[in-house]
Amino acid sequence: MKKMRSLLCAAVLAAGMGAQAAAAGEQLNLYNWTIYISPDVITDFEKESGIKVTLDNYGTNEEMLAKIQAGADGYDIVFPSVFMQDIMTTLNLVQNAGLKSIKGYENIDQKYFKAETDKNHEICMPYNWGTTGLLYNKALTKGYDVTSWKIVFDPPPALRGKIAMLDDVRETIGAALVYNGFSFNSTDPKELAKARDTIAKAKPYWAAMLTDGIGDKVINGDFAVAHWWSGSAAQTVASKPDAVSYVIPKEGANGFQEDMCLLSKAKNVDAAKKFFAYMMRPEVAAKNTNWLSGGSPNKAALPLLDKALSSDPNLYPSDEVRKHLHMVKDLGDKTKLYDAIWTKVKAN
Amino acid sequence: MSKPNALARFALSTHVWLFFLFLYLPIAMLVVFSFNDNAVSMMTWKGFTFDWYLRVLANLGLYTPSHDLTGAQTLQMYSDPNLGPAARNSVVIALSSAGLATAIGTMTALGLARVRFPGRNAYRTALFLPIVIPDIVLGISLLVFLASINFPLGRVSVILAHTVFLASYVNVIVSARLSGMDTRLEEASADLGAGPWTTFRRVTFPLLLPGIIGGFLLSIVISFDDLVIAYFTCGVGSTTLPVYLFGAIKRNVSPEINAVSVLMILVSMLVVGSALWLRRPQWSRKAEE
Amino acid sequence: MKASMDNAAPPPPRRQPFLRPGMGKLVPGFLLFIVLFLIPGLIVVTYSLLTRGTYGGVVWHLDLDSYARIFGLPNEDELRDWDFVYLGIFAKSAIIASATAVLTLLAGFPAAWYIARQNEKRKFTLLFLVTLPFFANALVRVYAWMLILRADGLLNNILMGLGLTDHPLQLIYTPAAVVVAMMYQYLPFMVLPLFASIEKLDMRLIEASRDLGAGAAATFRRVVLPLSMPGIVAGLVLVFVPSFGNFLAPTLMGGAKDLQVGPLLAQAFLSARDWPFGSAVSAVLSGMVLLCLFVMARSERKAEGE
Repeated sequence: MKKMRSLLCAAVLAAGMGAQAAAAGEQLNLYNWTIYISPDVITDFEKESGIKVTLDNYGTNEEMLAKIQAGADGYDIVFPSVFMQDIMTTLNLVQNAGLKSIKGYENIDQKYFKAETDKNHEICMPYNWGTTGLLYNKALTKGYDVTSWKIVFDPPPALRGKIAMLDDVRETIGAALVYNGFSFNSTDPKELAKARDTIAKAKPYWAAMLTDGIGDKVINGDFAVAHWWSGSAAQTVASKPDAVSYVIPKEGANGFQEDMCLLSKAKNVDAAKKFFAYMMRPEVAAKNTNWLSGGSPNKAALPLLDKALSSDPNLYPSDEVRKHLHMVKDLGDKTKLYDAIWTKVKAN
Repeated sequence: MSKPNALARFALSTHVWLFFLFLYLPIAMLVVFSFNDNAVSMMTWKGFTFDWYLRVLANLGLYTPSHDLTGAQTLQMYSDPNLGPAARNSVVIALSSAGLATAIGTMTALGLARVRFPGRNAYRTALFLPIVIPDIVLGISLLVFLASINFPLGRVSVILAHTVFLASYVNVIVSARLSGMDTRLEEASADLGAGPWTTFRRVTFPLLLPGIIGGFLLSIVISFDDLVIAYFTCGVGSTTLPVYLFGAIKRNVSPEINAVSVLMILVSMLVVGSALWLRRPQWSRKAEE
Repeated sequence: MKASMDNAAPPPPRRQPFLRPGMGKLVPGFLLFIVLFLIPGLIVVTYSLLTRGTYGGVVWHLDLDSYARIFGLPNEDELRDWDFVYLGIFAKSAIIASATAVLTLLAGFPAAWYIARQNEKRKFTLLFLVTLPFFANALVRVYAWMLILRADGLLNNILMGLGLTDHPLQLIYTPAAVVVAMMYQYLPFMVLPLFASIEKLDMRLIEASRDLGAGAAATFRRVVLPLSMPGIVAGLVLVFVPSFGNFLAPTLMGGAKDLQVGPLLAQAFLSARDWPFGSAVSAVLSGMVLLCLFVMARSERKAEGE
């Protein structure tokens, strides 16, 4: 009986492991932010190439890095922010995808190769860019100035308790720095202390710190103003344009960018390269960017974008506004200054 | 005998009613509103529909919709094709870890009950630890451990993680059953000439069976429902249903979540219901005859 | 050690060896426990004494700073002054967990009392009903409370529909919401031990107390309470411990604004990637849990001694 039970267990375990390895034919394993790639884009790729694609999600760059470092092998492609790409290249977690030899490379606008570790513009493919600003409920914020960070860091009495900020260390601390006139990537302890105090003073008036599930709460009035990424905000605005709107605060904001990278431990390199070529096609890039309501680094795709999207000054800001956009930079050792502030901020 | 006055009895009854209401209202509400034909405002009743369940079935690949289910696939109403693989992972992981845990836990219970050795009590108490330590501590310890030996995170890592504490659960359940068992039956069997293996097969095992089955079913449910440990130890393509659901809840994109939740509750309660029902007093008395 | 107590051969003349027949069964469980529980635990404790790597992981350099940071001690090299933020997080979690335990006790005691007074069949059915919701997924049950307490949730809809308020109340993203969610998760953990204790109560003692002239309150205070104390203590501990390290409820119901120990631990590992610090938090948390269990075991043994 004992023997039978052990055999049964071994059989079940083997079946489990076998099922993992059994996928016949080519496979591609993507690890991406939640809702950050069009499902149609994936299914079209699967139909065309016969390659089976799996998609797992992460909520932040740091979470993805933690999992990859901890041994979540088996992923082929990840979508880090530019600064995280620098970190991962330095740690040899990301390999050179050799973009210059992939068909469609000429479609990518060179100015979007922003990574400091990718001077030759060939390691990772610029994927999507956007801004981090404020999504606001038009009715609730009527009469107030929504074009400044002041509305979240020093909210008027009527809006207190109805503010949501991003649960992201660099985004929120960066916003506080910019509000105080400092650089988004400051490492000056005095400036950081000021930012910390700004946040500490404002936090009692914040309802929550989230990264998801924000849009419908701005629509239904749980939140009057929410700190959020432009793509997700744009999708919310598109669903109810008379109720909500998005703005880039005038003091400046984060101009983020995600790149598509090939992991060093990737097992399906050929399939991955096919996917790179696929994503560089203008019509695919446009379809994806339209779905994301994002910013496309693919210049051939620009004419194919939804007019509503590409003509929106908040989503495709003028050069004047772009001057006020900073990008999150890797701060090396100094990151722990931010981490310390963050814990303090969240604990009180 | 002095009777408590009517007011006290009324207060107690009211309290108990409210108590059970508190326990079941959220679940009932979840069930009711999973049929709500309102894609925008989940908690405002608009009409009855099966569509959310049909969408779940469609995502699991078990049903091909012939009509557009409850509104267009707007960007906010994103239907996640990851549901099927997540459900499959959860089932495989639950069955594997429950099977392993039942085998190991039962053997441990037998060893602890029948053999006296120094340190037995200490070891027995130590085996309680995987159950009482907060699951987040367990999940993180395992993540750290697996990372330090470069063990890949995937289905196997989750199965191993679950087996550790499930074996403790099974051990507790089977041990309880063993201690309630009348050893004279085994002794009688031995006196009548049966060898130790036969005694086990014919006497001990059948008496233990309800406990073993109970432990197995309980392990399935606990593994199926676990979020925190799977969250830390899962890897490529081994997202489990609760991990998937956690992401979906944070994104809050579709009332489909309600249908998925209700279905999960149904599965858990059915399995556990049968486990608890098997252990009800009449059944065990019958087995002892 | 000469007596033989199992089915083995006649006892050897000398002391029995440690390994005896029948212990083979213990091997798989023992290996599982050592390799997947004890060793990971030891690794975590080891990591807590090391230094963090710049981008995560550890550097093999002995350093007690992680613990110093938790307990608030200053550190010149890290430009850190006295700072009790982490002790504050532990304290806040403890307060919320205690509130959960006490409220669960107040809710559960009358229910356990009532069930203990029923006949056998009803007892079983009622206990079954109390335990059943526990096996619905914890995530789903907390999610249900999100749906009830949101601005557009059930409770607000009812309150506004009845005209009791003209705008939605802020019910979610508060400590109270976290307590309610955790109560909902752990109610059976309180009711079952309470029931076990109360069931053992000899009703004649209560009758005797009443016959001797004591009022209901005095009888409760002097007879019922002391005799059900083991169940009460067990229930309190069994609710406090998982509430203290809870991750789900503070994350979903607390708005991630006020850090508690569970989310702090997750943040330390996944967000800040400060493994030594996270390990230290984990070690302190485990230490506190073991302390609580020790207290519970002591009280049980004391009760049995009476």
